[in-house]
Amino acid sequence: MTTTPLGAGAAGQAVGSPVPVPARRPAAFHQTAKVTMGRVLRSEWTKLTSLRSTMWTLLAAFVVTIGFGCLIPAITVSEWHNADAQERATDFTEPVMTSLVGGYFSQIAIGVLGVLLITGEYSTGMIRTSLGAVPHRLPVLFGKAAVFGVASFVLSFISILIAFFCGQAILHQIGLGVSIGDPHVIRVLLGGAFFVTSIGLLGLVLGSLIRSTGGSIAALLGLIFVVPIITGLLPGSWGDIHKFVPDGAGEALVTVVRDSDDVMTPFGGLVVLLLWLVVGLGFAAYSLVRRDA
Amino acid sequence: MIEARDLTKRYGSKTAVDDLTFSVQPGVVTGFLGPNGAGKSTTMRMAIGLDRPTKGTITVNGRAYREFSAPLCEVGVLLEAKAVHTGRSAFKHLLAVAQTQGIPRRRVDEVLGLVGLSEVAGKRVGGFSLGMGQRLGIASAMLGDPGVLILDEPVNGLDPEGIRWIRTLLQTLAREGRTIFVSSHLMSEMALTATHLIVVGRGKLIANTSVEDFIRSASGDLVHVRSPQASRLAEVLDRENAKTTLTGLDMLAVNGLTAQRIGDLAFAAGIPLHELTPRQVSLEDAFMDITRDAVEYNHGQPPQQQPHVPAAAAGGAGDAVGAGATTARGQR
Repeated sequence: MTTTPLGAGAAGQAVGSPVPVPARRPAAFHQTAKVTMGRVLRSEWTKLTSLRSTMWTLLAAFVVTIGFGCLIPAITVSEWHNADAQERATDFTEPVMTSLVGGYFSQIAIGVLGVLLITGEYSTGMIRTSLGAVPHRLPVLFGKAAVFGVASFVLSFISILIAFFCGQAILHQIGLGVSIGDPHVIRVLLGGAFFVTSIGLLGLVLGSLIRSTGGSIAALLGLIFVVPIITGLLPGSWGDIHKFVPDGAGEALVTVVRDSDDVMTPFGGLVVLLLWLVVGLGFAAYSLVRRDA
Repeated sequence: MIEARDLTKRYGSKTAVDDLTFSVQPGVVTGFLGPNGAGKSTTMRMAIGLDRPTKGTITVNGRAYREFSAPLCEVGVLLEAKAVHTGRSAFKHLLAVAQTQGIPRRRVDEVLGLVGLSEVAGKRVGGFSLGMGQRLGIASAMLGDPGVLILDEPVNGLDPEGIRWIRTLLQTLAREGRTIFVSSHLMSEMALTATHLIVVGRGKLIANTSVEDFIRSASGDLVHVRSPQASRLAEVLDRENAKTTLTGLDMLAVNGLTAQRIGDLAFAAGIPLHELTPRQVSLEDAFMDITRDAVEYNHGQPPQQQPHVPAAAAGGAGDAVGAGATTARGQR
C-alpha cells in the first residue's frame, strides 16, 4: 500500500471513531525502492563487515597465513645447517609449499566463518529479517556467497602472496628460495587462495543445509579432514576417489610439479572444486526456497 | 488491508492454523487475540512469506507478499522472537536491512529517532534490554514507512511507559490510514489499543468483532439477583425469555433482562428482592471464557471437543460469551 486509498468501507470499519481516516502520503523514497541484486550485495557487505567476530576471524586467517609462511621457512633454514648432504637433497624439495602451510590453518578459519555467516542468522533469528526483506530468498544466499567468496579470495591471496615473499626471502639465505616468475608459482598461489575460498563457501553451503552451527562445523571438518584420511586408505583404483574430494582437488591446485597420477592436473582440480561449489550451492538454494524459514 | 482466505497450516499431523478467513482493514488498530499456541505467530509468518500455507492464501493489499518489489515499503513486521543478529549494532542492522531495497541511510537515523534509540545506535544489539529490543523491532518495521504493519506481541517486555508509548504510536499510525495488525494474548491490553478484534483459539477463528461489541457481549446483561423466593422469580423471568441460573438458595444469575426490568417484573409479581446488581464481566474473564475450550494445554484436563461459535458474527459470539459468563458465575 503505497498510497493507502481509503474507501467508505474502511471508514465504516472505524467503529466508535467519527474522525474520517486521512489519506496517507507515502515517503518519497518509495518511488525508487526496489530489491535488486546489487542492493542485496551491498547489504550483505554491510552484514559481513559489521560483525566484530567476522573481522577477527578474517584477521586471524590473514595473520596465521603470513606467520606460518615465515615460521616454517625459518625452521627450514635452521634445519638446513644441521642436515648432511643427502638429507639436503631429499628433504628440502618443496620451497613453495614451505611458505604456504599457513593456508591449512586459514582454511579452518575461513570454513568456520562460512558456516557462521548463515547459521549465525538462523540462531539469532536474523534470517527472518533477511528473508522478510528479500522474499525471493535466493539473492540473499547468492549475495552472501559472492561477497564472502570475493572477500575471502582477495584476503587469502594477499596473505599468501605476503607469506610467499617473506618465506622465499628467508629461504634465499640458503639458496633455496624461488621467485614468483618461476614456472607454476603464480598458479599455485592463486590455487591456494581459491582452495581456501572454496572451503569457506562449502562451509556456507553446509550451514545453509544444516542450519545449526555445531552440526555444520562438524560436517565441514569431517569433509575436509576425515574424508581425505578415509579415501587415502582405500586400496587400488578405489584410491582414485581421493582425487574427487575437496581436499584432493585442492591438492591438485597447489602441487608445483605433478610427478604422479595420484593427483589430478591443476585444471582438473579446479573443475572438481567448481563442481562441488555449484552442486552444493544448488542444494542450498533448493533448500532455502523450499523450507519454511 | 490484509486478507486471509481458508488459511491453513499443518506441521505433520498438528494443525497450527485451521481454515482462517478474515480481513484486516486500514485506519484502525486490529487486535489478533488468542491464547499461546493459538496460531497467531504462524498466521503472521505466513503473511510475510516465511512459512508456506498448507492450504488457502493470505494477501496484503490484494497481493502475495512475494510479489512486492520493495516489501519493506509495503509491510512492516515485528516478529515475536527477536529477529536481529546480536553481534551487530542497531544502526548497522537497520542499514543492512534498508540497503536491500534502496531505503536511504537518513531513514535509518529517522526511525532510530522515532523509537528513541538514537543514543545507543552504535551499541551492539546483544547488550539491549528486552524493551530496547522491541523498540529496535518497531524501528525495523517502520523502516520502509509501510502502509501495513504486522506486529507480533509488541508490548512483550516493555515497561508501563513503553506500553503506553506503543499504544499511542499504533493509534497514531492507524489514524494516518495504515493497516495495523497486532497480536497479543493480553485481552486488557487489546481493549486499550485495538478497535477491532480477531480472536483465535487452536488455529480456528472464534470471533471477528469490534472491541466495543466484544466487551458489550462479554458483559452481557448479567444481573445478580437475591430474593427469598428465587425459584418463583426464576419462573417469572423465564416467561420473559431470560436465561436464569440458580446460583444459591436465594440467588439468581439472570441473563437477557436489564436490572430495571427484573425489578419491575418482581414488583408486579409481588416477589421481594434483597439485591439487584448488574454485573460487569471483566474482559479477562470474557476472554478466558471464550477461549477456554481453545486453550491448547488445559492443565491436565483432556482437551474437550468444543462447540464452535459461529465465526465472524459478532452477535453469535456475544451469545456464547453471555452463556459462558453465566456458567462461570454459577460456579462461584
